[in-house]
Amino acid sequence: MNFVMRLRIPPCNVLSQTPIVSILSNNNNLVCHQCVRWRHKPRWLPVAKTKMWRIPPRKEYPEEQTARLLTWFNNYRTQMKALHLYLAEQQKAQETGPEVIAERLRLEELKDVECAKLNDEWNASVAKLREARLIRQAEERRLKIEADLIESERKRLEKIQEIEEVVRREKELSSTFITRENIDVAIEKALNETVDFNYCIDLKGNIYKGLRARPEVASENPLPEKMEAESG
Amino acid sequence: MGVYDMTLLLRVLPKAELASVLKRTAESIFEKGGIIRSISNVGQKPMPFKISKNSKPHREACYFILEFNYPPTEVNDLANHINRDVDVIRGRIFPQVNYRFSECTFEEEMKPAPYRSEVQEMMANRKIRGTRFSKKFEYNNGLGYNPL
Repeated sequence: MNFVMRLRIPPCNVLSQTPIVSILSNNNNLVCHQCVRWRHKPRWLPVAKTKMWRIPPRKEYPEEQTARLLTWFNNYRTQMKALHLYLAEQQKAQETGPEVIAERLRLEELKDVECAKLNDEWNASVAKLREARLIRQAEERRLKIEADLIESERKRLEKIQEIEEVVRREKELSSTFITRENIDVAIEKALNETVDFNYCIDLKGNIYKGLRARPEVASENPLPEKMEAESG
Repeated sequence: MGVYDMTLLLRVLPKAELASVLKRTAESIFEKGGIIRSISNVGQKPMPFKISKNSKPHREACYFILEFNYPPTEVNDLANHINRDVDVIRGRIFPQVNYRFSECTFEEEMKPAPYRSEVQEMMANRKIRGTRFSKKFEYNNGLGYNPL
């Protein structure tokens, strides 16, 4: 607690910008140590009362000094202008002279030729790669189409076989179909016979048909029919 | 023509009248060129819940199952027609589903994960294809190094 008290930062006066100086001011590594290098009046403070409405007097120079400075400056301007014009003329001659233009054109042509050569090289290498790729892709496509054809043919045959199987089964069943002719007989038969779809199954997979078929009473109960376990 | 199953719950009636109701139903199937494949009589049973039909409660019914072929576009009309019969308590039509039986894979499924062939295949694929984290981002600036 005592330690904390000793490190307490003293309040800083923002308006007067008093430098914050810690109690342990001999140690410069402390966080609360702050240098005040540029001491300005903050922007939000108005002009000081003593400086308000004050017009500073115009500075007066000796006339001789003014005349001399003017002469020097005029001379300087004239000479610099001449130098600029001279350099500009030289530059223009370098850029627009006939032999200069011819040289430039020659260099440009040379560069064009070089570029074209490089471009052709690149094109050739890319063409080689492309050809190889196209050949590979064509081969892949051919193989895929072959495989697809075989697969589709297989599927078609399978489908036909399935359909034929269905047709065969239906043809077999068609002898037992009920139509207008034998409906009375079928209804009579159905009314005389009841069907029971219930069955139960034991752990070995034996099926006991009937509503209340239980394995332990199956032997006593003549109604439930014990069947062999169906495969699958 | 699709194959359908019709479950018929008829009022408890004498045999002759039951026959006439069934005849009516069969006739409505034959009208649109349907064929009945089988008629099964499940018997007279108490229903699992009371059903009111034509303002009369029914607690018992004669259960019948009809298997028949019928044009699929007309099936809804047939269901509508049957249920308007006064002796039918409830008639429902279901399309028959041909289940494809596949081999039992219970033993395989009960193995621990790394022994299952499915998981092994997945792991092999992961080695070949990598995961979504194994792909490195490419800047595509053609520099071969990171300029940043």
